[in-house]
Amino acid sequence: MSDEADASIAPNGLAATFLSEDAALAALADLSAAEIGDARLFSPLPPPGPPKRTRLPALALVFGLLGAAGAFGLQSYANVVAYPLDIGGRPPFSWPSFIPIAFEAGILSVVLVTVVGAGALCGFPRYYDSVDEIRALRDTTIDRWVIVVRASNLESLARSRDILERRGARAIEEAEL
Amino acid sequence: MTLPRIGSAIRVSARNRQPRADDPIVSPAQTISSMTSKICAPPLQPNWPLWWKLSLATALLFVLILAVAIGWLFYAGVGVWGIDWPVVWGFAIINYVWWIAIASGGTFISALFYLAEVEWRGALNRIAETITIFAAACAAIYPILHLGRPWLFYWLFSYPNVMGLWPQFRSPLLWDFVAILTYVISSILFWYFGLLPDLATMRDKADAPQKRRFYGALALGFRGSDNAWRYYIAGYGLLAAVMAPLVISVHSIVGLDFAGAATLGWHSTEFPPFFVFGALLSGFATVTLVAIPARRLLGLDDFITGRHFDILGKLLLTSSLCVGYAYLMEAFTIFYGPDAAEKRLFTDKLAGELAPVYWATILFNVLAPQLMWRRSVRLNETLVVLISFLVIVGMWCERYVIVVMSLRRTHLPSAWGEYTPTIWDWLTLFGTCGLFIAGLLIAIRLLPTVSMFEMRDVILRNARRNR
Repeated sequence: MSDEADASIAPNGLAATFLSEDAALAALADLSAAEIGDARLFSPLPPPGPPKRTRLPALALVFGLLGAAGAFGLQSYANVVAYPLDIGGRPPFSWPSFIPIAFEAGILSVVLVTVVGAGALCGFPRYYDSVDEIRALRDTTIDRWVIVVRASNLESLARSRDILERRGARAIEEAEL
Repeated sequence: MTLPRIGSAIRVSARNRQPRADDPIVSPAQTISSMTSKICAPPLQPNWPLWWKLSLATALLFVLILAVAIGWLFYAGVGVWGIDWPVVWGFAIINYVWWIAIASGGTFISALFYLAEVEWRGALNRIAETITIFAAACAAIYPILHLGRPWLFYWLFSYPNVMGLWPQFRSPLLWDFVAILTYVISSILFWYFGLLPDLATMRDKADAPQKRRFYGALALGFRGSDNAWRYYIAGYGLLAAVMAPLVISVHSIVGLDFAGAATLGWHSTEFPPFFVFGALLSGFATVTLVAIPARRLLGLDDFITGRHFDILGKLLLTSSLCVGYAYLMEAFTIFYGPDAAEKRLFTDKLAGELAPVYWATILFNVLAPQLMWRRSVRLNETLVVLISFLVIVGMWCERYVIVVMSLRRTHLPSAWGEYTPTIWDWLTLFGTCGLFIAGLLIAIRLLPTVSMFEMRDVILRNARRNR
């Protein structure tokens, strides 16, 4: 089959609905073992396994430290250079009293970077995606597990359907992805 | 799609099960489908029952009273309150500390217990976080009102200005401003981030197009893909990891607001942990006080079970013992130390004019929660509600003791004074209570009261265990 013919297959995807997490994960493992391209699981709860390894914690740490250092620097500048005040005889650079605000600024930076960063990695906001045309997908946020396979050719599509049926998919829907 | 009507939930709740010690965390009769339908039903119902409408109308009446009280304050100045020299911190600071402590319970349950991977948290964390949001909002109002010229509150921010002025960074009061700002912003973001998967469920469960659009817009396009979940959980864990130290720091700084002043009864290194203990106690009491009626009125008895009552009772008891220890150490350090003025002030607390307020604090915060040693008390809804309410009143009395008793009896007897709150003090307090309750009622009307995606995990885990 030529590449040109592969690109023109329509519909080029399948959406299989499962009633249990175990069956969906087994089907996903089979699809992966069979090296069938792009298979995504949609589920009503986080799939088992560790969270994604990302650079987000490192990025949050860097921004947290920058936020804390920035707040510490700002307080030092204000008290030492811009507006030195004698408060109870303390020296202008009374650094222990700058720590609470530096700590809070660090935490705020971590929170903002985490929310924006995790949101961006999750792809938010994304109000339209071609998978939205799949009817079964509306149930994945409720009580169903759906595997969406995007095949590059008709043979892969047929093999995917075999695997999904063998693993007990309750319904298989064709999709244009 | 058929959703159980909220009316039926209430009819069921009228004869709902009494909490029992051997209750599971979630009823085995619940599946992820039935749980989702049950939790989605109330916010998706077009009409709500009379109790909700009447409660909201009453709460909004108090919000109106708050608006009038604030309007009069802005017009006439802080002289409308009972504050004067030497009691310059009155209800505004008492209520501020009281509300911010109430807010903390939500963060402890949602962040600290998330990190500890406790299963029971799933049913309570949404209620707890919602309490945090509205209690923190009520708290944040007071320091602004107390400024005297509240319209200049932005002077607390450090920004280049033509006056060449900077805030006084060495004051715990400014630390507090930054801490509360951080806490309010972080709590709202943590709450919203935790809501995203459930908002997606609401979007997909709703039939009416306008409701689908409303929840769809809020869900930001969450679809539950494998990739999104893994990033989402990584982000949520990271937020929980910073929220836990944040809440400890906020209450420590609130304690430093007092400890930083050379005032009798305040100038103690004990204050930061003492305030954290107090925050734990009032936070857990408020979560209990809200969760029990919510269980009845929204038919959540399959999710908030006897196990939750048992755990909340133990948490209340533990935090009450911590607070009791702090009270004891306060007395010990004063009488062990050399300061005669401190001893005189403490004796005034024990047997002076305002002694009933001090003893009410001990009775409500330390003695009443000791009933929780008995399991039968922890599982008795009426007694648990009563004890939680007494604790919340007791925590308010504690702040009254701290603020008013110390300021009215300073080192110099010639500078002693009295404090009498005015009607505007009371109306502002009741007004913020109305604001808090109105916020909770609107939240339960629009949003799921239980974290559904976490509850699914609990249900599946329990089902596997029982297999």
